[in-house]
Amino acid sequence: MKKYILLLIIPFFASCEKIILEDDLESTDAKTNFEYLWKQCDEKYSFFEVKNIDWNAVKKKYETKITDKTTDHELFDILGAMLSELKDDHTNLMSNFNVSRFGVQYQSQDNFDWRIVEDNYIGYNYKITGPFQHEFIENNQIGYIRFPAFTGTVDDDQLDFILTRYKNTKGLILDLRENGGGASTDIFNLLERFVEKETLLYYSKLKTGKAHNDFSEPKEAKIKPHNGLRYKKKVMVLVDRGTYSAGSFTALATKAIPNMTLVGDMTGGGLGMPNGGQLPNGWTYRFSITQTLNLQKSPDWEMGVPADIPVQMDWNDRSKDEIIERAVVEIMK
Amino acid sequence: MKLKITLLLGLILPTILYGQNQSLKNNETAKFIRIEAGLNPVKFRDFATSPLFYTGSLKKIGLYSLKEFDGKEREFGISYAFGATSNTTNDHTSASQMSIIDLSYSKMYTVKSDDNWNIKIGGKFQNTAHIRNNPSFQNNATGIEIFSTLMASGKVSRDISNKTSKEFKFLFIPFRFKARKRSLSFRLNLAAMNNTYRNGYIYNGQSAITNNAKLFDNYKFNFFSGYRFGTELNYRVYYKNKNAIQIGYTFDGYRTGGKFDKFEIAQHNLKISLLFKTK
Repeated sequence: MKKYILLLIIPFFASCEKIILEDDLESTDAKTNFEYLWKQCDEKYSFFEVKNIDWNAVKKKYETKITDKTTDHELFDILGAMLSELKDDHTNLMSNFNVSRFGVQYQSQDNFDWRIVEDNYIGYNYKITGPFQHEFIENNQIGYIRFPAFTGTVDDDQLDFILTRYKNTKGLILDLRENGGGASTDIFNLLERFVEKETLLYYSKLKTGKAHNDFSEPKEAKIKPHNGLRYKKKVMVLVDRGTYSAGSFTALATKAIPNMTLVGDMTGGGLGMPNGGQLPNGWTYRFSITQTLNLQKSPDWEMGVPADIPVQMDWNDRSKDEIIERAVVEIMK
Repeated sequence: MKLKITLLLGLILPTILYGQNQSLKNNETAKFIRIEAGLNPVKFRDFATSPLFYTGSLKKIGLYSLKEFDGKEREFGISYAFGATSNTTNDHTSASQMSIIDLSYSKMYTVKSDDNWNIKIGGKFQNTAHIRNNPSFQNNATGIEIFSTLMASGKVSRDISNKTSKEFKFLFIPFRFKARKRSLSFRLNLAAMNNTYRNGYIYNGQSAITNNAKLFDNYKFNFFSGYRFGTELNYRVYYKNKNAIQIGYTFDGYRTGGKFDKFEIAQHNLKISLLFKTK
């Protein structure tokens, strides 16, 4: 009998979860979730100083809005508004009923309409190669390439096809307007077709501590020329405030590539890589945790990479895309 | 640090030295290949991404080599657990796919033995790697951490063999227990040195945006960090051909050290093992 009692008793001593696991922090309490998100940002967000944000003042502003009667939907709006103070579209709060966002592209005028491009420049039978839509324009003297998103699927076959097709043109227009970003691998796969030597594009530094200015040493981002087909003539890269994240990284990188020129409005920024996490009430969030520095080691282009040739659309005339028109002029010079 | 090293040597050296003396008492040698399968419920939390616990029941398989010789017991092997874990809070569900790869080496020495009881002490070196993927954490979706632990172990075994066949009825159902060699054992493992290989302060790295993608970007070794302990309860029945079957329950709990963004996990493993005698 003793041995059977032993069988029953030992498991009680065998699984001491509480020695290893701390208390459960699951909570739907509004104040608890507010404090948690504010602290996560305070310790990890990367642009407080660049954007001159007083995060303690933001806390005071929003914590007074929370009461014992604050509902989930009200809390979501309060937390979303608090995050929007960061003026960063890499900052979102996500629940199963809403996603908060800042919307940098709405802070200035719209500069892109795909229908104008189709109606007046490339027609409707343009080629679609992977994520690229492309066609000859200007009597086959220029290749127009629309790249609407960094899907992470850019490959050598696609780029070989496109660059072979346009190898006899005077220049290319790479349209990144309203490209909200995506996979960073596409940036380098694309740009290595436009450099002739190893090129330093920008620097990046990572948050390493709780203080707002705790960062790693800047790391260089470099590319080497593609070992195959490359394009050496002029490339006009079209950007606007909707060009964000990987789109902005690409825009920033063009500053280091001699034959590439930015045309249009400044980009939306988004040069901080976002993280991801969860609140005690199950909602998820993300915000930027790195800084990207230009070749002068300044992080200021987080607010937008400036165009080399600033141009705005004139919406009174929908038969023309002023930004494409200006790019054509630059190539034909 | 010095205190921890002294403690470690204090635990391990007497074990080895005392074990050397005891090893001459028993000349029986048995070698087994042990194949294990079971359910592996886990509960974990990674404060770097969430304050919430994720739970799930993984499937686990393992392959081990077990040798019992001269009163010693040596086992090494590998196991792989895989499956989904999740958390549901406030009507929000997040799922995390999880794989756990475990490599272990253990050696035990008999310190006391009689006809019914056997007591062994020794050590275990256990390396455990987790690979987790939770898409709702976006750029922090992938979590990888490695725990490398040197443990001091104690094991108590009780021979509960049936010398003769027994028959009895329970609820009018007749049961018959054949005369077989059986044993029940309980093992306790306590970390003497727990080391972790884990992400740095900000959880993610920046290698992807600097065109230099690395798997363990911004990872750091932490020696003597955190804690681990485990228990193991096994019931083994031997067959006439000297092979055996073993039913067991294992608990393995461990955590990182420090105060910032800790990782903690408790694993329960209900398993059945087939032991094939090879020598």
